[in-house]
Amino acid sequence: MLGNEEGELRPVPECYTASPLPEFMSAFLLALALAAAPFSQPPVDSLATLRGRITDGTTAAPIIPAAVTIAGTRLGTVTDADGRFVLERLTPGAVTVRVARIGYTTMTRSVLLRGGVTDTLDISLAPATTSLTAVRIDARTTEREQFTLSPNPGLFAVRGETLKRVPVIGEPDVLRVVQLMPGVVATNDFNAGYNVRGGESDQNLVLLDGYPIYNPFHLAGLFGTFIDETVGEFELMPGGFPARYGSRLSSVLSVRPKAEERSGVHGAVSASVLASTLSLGGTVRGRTSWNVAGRRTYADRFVDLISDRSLPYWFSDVQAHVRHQLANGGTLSLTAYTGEDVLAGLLDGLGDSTQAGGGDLRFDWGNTLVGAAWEQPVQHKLGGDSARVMQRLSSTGFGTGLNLGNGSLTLSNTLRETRAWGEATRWRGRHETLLGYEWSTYRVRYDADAPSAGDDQLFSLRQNPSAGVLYVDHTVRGRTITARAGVRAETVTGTGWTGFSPRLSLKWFATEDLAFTLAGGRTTQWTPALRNEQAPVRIFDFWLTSDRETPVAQAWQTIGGVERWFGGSRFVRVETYLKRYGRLPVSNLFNDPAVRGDEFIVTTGTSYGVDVLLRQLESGRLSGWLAYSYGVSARNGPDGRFAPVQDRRHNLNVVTSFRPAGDWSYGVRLGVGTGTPYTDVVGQIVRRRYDPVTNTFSPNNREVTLEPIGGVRNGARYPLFQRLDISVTRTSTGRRTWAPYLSLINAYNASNVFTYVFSYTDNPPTRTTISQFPLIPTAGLKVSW
Amino acid sequence: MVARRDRSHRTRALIRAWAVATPLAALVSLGACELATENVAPPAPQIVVHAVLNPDEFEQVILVESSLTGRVTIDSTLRFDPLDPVRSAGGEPIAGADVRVFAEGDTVGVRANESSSVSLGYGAGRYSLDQLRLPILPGRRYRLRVQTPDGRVVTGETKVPSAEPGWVRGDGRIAQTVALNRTRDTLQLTWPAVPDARTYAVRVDTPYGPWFLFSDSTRFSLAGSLRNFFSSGLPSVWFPGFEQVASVLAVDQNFYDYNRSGNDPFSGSGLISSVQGGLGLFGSTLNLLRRRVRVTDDLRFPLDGVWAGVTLSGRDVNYDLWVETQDTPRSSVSGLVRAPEVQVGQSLLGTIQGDQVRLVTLLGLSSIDTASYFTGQLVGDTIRGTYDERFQTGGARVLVRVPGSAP
Repeated sequence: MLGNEEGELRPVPECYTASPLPEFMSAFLLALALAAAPFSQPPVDSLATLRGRITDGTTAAPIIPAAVTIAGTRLGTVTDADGRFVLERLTPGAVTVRVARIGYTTMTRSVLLRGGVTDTLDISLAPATTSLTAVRIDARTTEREQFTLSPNPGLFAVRGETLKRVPVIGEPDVLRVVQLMPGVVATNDFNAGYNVRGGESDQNLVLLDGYPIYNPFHLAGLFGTFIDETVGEFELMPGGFPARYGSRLSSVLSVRPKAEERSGVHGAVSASVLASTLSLGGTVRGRTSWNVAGRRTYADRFVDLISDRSLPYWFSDVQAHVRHQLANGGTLSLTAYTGEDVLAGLLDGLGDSTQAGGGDLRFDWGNTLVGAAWEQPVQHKLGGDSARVMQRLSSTGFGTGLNLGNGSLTLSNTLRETRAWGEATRWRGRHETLLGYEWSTYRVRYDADAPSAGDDQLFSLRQNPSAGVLYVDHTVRGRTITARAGVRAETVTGTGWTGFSPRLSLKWFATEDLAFTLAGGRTTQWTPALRNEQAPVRIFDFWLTSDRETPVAQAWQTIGGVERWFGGSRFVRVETYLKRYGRLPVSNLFNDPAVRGDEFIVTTGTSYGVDVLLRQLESGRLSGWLAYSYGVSARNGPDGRFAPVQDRRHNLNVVTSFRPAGDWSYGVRLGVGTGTPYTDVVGQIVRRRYDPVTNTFSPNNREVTLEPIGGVRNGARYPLFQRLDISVTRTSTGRRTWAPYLSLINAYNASNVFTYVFSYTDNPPTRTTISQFPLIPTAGLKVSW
Repeated sequence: MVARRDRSHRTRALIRAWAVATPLAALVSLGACELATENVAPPAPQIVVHAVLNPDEFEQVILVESSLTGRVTIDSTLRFDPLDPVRSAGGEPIAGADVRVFAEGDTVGVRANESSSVSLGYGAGRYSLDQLRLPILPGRRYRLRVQTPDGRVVTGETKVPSAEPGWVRGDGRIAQTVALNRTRDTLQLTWPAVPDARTYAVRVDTPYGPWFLFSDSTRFSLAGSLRNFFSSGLPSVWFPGFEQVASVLAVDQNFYDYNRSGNDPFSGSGLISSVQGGLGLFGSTLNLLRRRVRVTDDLRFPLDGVWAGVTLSGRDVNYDLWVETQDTPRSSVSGLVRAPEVQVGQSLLGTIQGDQVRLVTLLGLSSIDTASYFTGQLVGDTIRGTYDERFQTGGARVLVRVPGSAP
C-alpha cells in the first residue's frame, strides 16, 4: 500500500494545456465520432496508472460506488461492482487521492505516481459514526461526484434514508417523492403517476435494479410498488439521458435495491395505518448479501373500522435481492418482485343484492419480475486500460384480470417482456466507451370472454413483437469539458420501423463549482398505453405495442442548464427544456373495437419550460430541496390544439428535513401549483336506447342515463393547488431501533379540487366540487435491528 | 404478429368502466369528499334527436329534445310513458319542430306529426309518421331534417339494412315460442346475412334491463347460465317462470356507432353522433329473428315447485317458484303466477332468507313494475303470508305445495 494516512495537497501538473474552446470542440467532435483519440498529452509510456479496491473497514465488503478522485483536478472515477477502480494516463508525481462515499469517513492519501508503472492503492473506509458531523464538512457526496463526472442533465438522486423523511400518507413512497422533483407534475393527490417535463404518464421508464416495471402502482394509483426498506437509492433522469436508456419518451427512474452489507441477519418491521412491512437482510461468508421484504395492506380492515363502507381490497408485495461476489471480482445478482392488487368479494355484497346473480367478483392486477445480472471487470481488455462487461436477463410482466360471477365474464390484459440486456464498458484514459445491446420480446394479450354468450371469445388481441437495440455511448472527460455522445439503433418487428436515436450531452465547467450543460437527442417508445389521460385517477394502464397501425412514438428534446455548487453539499440548478413530439399515439376515445388499428390516433405536440432546483444535501441538520417548475405543454389533436392534463404551468415544492440533536427529526413538504386543465361540462344528454320489441326508446327499467357534453377540450383550469404535510419521527437507538412517526397530510386542510360533478337537471344548474386529500393524520412505527 | 377476433363491441367499454369505477370507489372510501355545490351559468342548448327507422313497424318515431342545460327542472319521478317518451324519461322536449323524412330523390319530404296533446304538454318532442305516408323499406336510403321553432336545423341520413327476398312487413315482429331449461339448454340463434347491415345486434329482454351485444357473426348461442354483465350485480339473463324475448336485428352504421360509444365522464366526448347540427342518432334496423323464450329450470331447492293458493275472490291460482340464485344469507326467487290450467301468467321475483319469503308479482317484464307484494313464512309445505294492501292485491294467503308437480 502506498501513501501516508494523511497526505498533503500539492499542485498537480496539468495533463494538457489546450485552451477551453479547442478542448470543447475536440471533445465534441471526438465524442461524435465515438473515437478514443487522445488529447495532447505526454507519451503513454511516461504516464502512470493507479488501481485499487475500496472496502468497508468493518466488513471488508466492497463499497459501491465510491468516488475516487485526484484532489485539485477533475480526474476521477467510481468503483465497480467489486469495489475496484482504475485511474489511468495520470501524470507522474505526487498526488492526493480522495475516496468518498456517503456514510463513510472520507479518506485522502498522498501517492507518488511513477511513469510507466501501475501502482496499487487499497483503502478501507471507516463507517461514519459519532464523528460523522465533523467528517461531513469535507464529504464529497455522490451528487457532487455526479456533477463532476457525469454530463447527465437534471439528474436527481435520493437515498433511501431521505425517502423516509418526506411526509407521506401511510408508507414512504418512491413515486410520491419523485412527484416533488423539479419538472415533475402530479395531476392530483390520488395519483402516484407522474408526468415529467410535459410528457404523458406512460412515457416514464421505471427500472428496478435495471429491470423495467410497467405499472408501479397500488391502490388505484395512491401508492407505488417499491417497498421503502428495500430501496437503496433512486434517481430520476428527466431528460437528456444517455443512449443506454431508451424505449420511453420522457424520463428514466432507476431504483436500486439496498444491499445489506452487515454480517448476520438484520431486519425491520414497520406498521402504518395501511400496511405492514417485514424486511430481512444479511450477508453470507462476506461474499453474498441478501435482502427480502414483504408488505401487505389492511386498508380493507381500516375502512371497515372508520366507516360503514366496505373496501374488499388489498395489495401485497414481495421483493428479494441477492448479490454474490465472485472470486474473480465479478458479481452475480438476482432480483425478484411480485406485487398484486386484489378487489374480491361476493357480487351481491357489492351491488344490489336483490338482483345479483350470485357468485364472486375478482379484479386483480400486478407486476412480476425476475431478473439476473452478471457483472465482471475485465482487466486490460477490449483495447483499453480496463473494462467491464454486464449481462442482464429478465422477464417482467404486468397483468390484470376481471372475473365476474365465477367466470361468467372474464377480461384480461397481460404484457410480458422477456429481455436480454448486455453491455461492455471500456475505460481508456479520459475516455469511456460503452457498447450495448437490448433484445426484448413482447407478448401482449387482451381478451374478453363470456363462455355463456356465443361460441367464441368476445374479444381477443395478440401482439408478439420483438425489439432489438444496439447502442454506443462515448464519454470524454476533459479538464473543463465533459462530453458524451451516443446513438441507439432500434428496430421493432411487425412495425416496419427502424430508427436511429442520437444522444448528446456536453458539460462545460466554467469553474470547479459552476458548469453549463447542453444536451439533446431523440427518444422513442413502442409500448403505448391504452389509457384516458383525462381520467383524474390512474389505476393502471392497458399496454399494447406498436405495430403496422400504431407507429413508434418519437420525440426530440433539447436541454440547457447551469449548475452551481456552494461547498460540498448545496447547489442550485436551472435547466430549460424543449420537447417536440413528432409522432405521439394517444388513446382514441372513438375507436371501433371491430376495426384493427384505430385504438390510437397519432398526435403531435410540444412541451417547454424551466426547472429550478435548490438542494441542500443530507450533510447537516437541515436538508431538503426547493423545486420550482414552469412548464407549457400543447398537443395537436383532431379537434385542434389543447393543453394536456399535465400542463401545470407553475409548480413549487419545498421539501425539508430537520434533525436537531437528539432523537427527533421533522419533515415538511409544501406544494403549491397552478391548476391543471380540465374539460368543462356544458350540458348533459339523455342516452336513449331503441327497444325493437316495443318500438320505443324506453329506459328498460334502468335509470335514465345521463352523459356529460364536453366543452372545449381542457379549456378550463382547476384553481390553485396547495398542500402542507408535516411529519415527526422519534428514533431511539439501542439494540433495536424504534422509530415511531406521525404525519399530518394537508395540515391546514386546504380545499384542493379533485374534480367537478355537474348537474344540468337542476334549475339552475349546479357544480359540485370533489376534494383531494382533506386533513389526514397518519402514524406508524418502525423497529429495526 | 397480430391476430384478433372480435364479436363483442361493448366489452372494452366495460373493462374501462371497471378500471375507472374501482379506483373511484376506493377514493370515496379513503377520503375524497364533497366540498361545495354552486350554481353555474346555463350553457347554450343543443338539439338532440333519436330516431331508428324499422321497416317492420307501422309507425316511425322521431324524438326531438334539447340537451339538458338547467334552464328547466327535470322531473325525475315520472314513470316512462311511450306516448310521452321525452319528458317521462328525463328529457326536455322541443315542441313545434318541423320534422321531415325524405326518401331517396325526394326533396320535399314527409312531415312527421306531433302528438295532438302537445298543447297540454303531453307527448311533446315525439314526432311520428306511418308507413302509409312514407313507406320505410329495406335497402332504401332516407334523410332526416329537423328544424326547431327558433330556426336551428339538424339533419341525418341512414340506409336501412336490406332484407332477404320475400321479406314481408311485420313478419319480423312475430316471435316463435321456445322453451329453455336454464340448467340444461342453450338457445341457438342463426340468421341470414343481409346486405347493408353494419353488424347484428343480439338482445334479450330481462327484468333488469336488456342484455345486448353486437355480433358480426350470423349465429349466436346463449347459454342458460348467461349473466347480464351490463347490469348492476351481474344478474342472470334467464329467469325461470318468465317469458323473455330474444331478438336479432340487422343495424346500420349509425345505430352501431351510437350504441357502442358514449361520452367519457371526464372529457364529455366519445359519443359518436350521426346527425349534423346537433347530437343523437338517426339510424335504422331490420328485425331478423325473434324468439319468445319460456324459461324453466330443474327443481333443485326445497322451495322449487308448484304452490297452490286461492284468491280473495275464490279463484284457484298456482305459483311456480324457483330459487333463481342461491346465496347466503338471502337467495333470489323467480317464478310465475298463473291460473292452474294455463302456462302463462304474471312473472314474479322475490327472495327467501331463512323461512321468510318475499314475492313481487310484476305488471310486465320489468322488475320495477310491481303489481303486488307478498310476504310470508315457509313452514314445511306451506307458505303463510299476506299481500301488501298498497298494491292491487291484498289479504292473507296460504300457499300449499302441489305434491309431485313440476312447473
